[in-house]
Amino acid sequence: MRLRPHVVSALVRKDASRLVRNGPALMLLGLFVLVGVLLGSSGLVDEEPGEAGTPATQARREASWIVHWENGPWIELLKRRSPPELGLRFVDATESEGLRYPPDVCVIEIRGSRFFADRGQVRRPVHYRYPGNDPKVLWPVTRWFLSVSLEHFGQMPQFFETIQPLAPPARTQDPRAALERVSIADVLNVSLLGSALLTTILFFASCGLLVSLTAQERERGALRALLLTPATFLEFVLSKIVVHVGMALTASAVVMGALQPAVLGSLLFWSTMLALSLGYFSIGLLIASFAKDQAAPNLLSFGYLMLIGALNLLSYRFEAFRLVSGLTFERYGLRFTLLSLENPGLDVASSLAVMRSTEFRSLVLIVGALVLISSAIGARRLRAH
Amino acid sequence: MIHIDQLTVRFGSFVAVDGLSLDVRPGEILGFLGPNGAGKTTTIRVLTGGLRPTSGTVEIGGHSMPLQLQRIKDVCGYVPDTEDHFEELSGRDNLRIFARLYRLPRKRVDEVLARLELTEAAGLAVGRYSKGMRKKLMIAREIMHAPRVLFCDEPTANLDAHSTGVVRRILADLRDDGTTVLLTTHNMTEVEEICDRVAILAGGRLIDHDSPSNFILRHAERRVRVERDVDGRQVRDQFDMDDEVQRAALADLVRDRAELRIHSLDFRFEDVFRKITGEVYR
Repeated sequence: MRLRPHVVSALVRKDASRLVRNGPALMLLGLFVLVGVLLGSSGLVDEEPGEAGTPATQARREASWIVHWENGPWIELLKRRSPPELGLRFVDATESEGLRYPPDVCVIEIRGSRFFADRGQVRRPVHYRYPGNDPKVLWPVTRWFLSVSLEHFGQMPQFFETIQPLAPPARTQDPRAALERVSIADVLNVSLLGSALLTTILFFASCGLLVSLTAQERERGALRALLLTPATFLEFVLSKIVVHVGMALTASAVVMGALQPAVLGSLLFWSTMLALSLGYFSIGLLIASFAKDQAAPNLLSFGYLMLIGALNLLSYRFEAFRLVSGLTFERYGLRFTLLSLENPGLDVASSLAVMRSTEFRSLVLIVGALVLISSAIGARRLRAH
Repeated sequence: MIHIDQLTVRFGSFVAVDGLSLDVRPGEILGFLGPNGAGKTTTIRVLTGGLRPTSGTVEIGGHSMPLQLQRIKDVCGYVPDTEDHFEELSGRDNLRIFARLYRLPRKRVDEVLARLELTEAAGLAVGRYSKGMRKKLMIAREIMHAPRVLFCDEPTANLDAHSTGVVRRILADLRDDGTTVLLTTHNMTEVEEICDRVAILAGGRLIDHDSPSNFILRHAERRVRVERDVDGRQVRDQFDMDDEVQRAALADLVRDRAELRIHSLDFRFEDVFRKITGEVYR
């Protein structure tokens, strides 16, 4: 197995030259980046939830309650790490009788561990309660809470989570009024939009473009010409990784630079981006290996994205789909993307703690296996002419 | 330089190459001929590492295929019968990619462009090249690293007479410099002009191999064409002088008719090829 820098460099320059001349692909990638920049400049980024000056928000600044039915090192760490600006008040529920919340505080209720028979799991119920109608006011306190919990548990905490308003809406209220309060804008936040945008960019740059360009090279015979030179298949694959994964990561950096700059310093974020990008690259290489023209693989890669999306959605409802989606790297990758966007200021130690979790190891394992399998199949199929 | 021993390639029950054994000497141009479907391209695919043989062995420059493919790739060039360029890049940029892979100096690119008379079009995107220019660019690319073995699959197809001459001259020069050329072509004039030896395949098997002149000597038929006037119409007949009956018939004609025009017919390599492959498929 030879790996020579001048060969990899020549192949990278070749792909870069071809990409520069591929107007439609550049335009589409630029469009994704533009969406990120527009979202960033639209105020979504800077809008700390609830900072609009509503009474509820002001109350949150004054007091958020952490109500706990258990005690121990985790609760002690939460107390030690509580930032003054959140105005946190810790309430030991076991010592409080007839607990009543003021109408204008955010509350995190930490219940004792419970066995959920329907899931066959032991989980700790955590209920988030918010004042008013806007769950976004919970944002700063949940961000802090998850970050410290991650630090304590060393992996994604296995919570059974619910989000509820402090006061349920009165049944006598006119339903039309409730309808008016609900807006799609309430659902949108940086983490969700960022995750969706990043997934699209990573998929397009690492899989879609790879499939398109490689299938084109194969169809035209240029791939055969390249593989008849001293370039090895390993060098060929490595150059593709440099170009496509590099492009995916660069575009992600630009988008997040506009949308959530704080996340750019997160080790967890970049590790997740790299893993997802390599995963999509492997899928692209597999599809390109079986394609002899351009049309079929482009459809196939688009179909793959749809299939994975459907699989992950169904996995929340049906056990069989959950088992299958557990074998896909997207299931873990997307969760860590969301996690790193929700905790943009995660330091290296906390990132490493998360990356030692079973779920992150599963992500790395699945992506590693995919890279090996797709390279082996690609070496066999793409070299044939 | 190229040693093929009992090479067999099967696709399911179809035998594309059937026990082919052949040696190609260093510094010779071997015409690798055969009708369509004879197994030429399949053999070249094996020789260039694009296809694993079902059985048999192949050695190129002392390196066995496919175990030492990487070493073989260093010394080989392959001009395929179909285009394989990066269409959006210029001719010069296409060559530069390969020059970098072989660590050749930039001036080498300009040298081969000039040699193939492509200097003026070097800055144009290959998508705007004519078929002939694309073919010449492919040849330029494959001779750029001065390979010791060059596989050429119909290198002069689609070329005009002038460009054909240029390519033939380049192949002859390469041979003179010690390069071994395995040439596939359907142009028999080309075979007679530049090939040192010829191997003829049919049905996946090697039928015969020899120099073009020896082929003609061995297979030439002495024939004459006789033109005569019958009732005001001109009639033409051919007579095989190696056939006793036809020779006697011609003698009768000569005796009976005062005015006959008799021409001896040339027997070219194309006739040999038709004769040999025709016998195989008859």
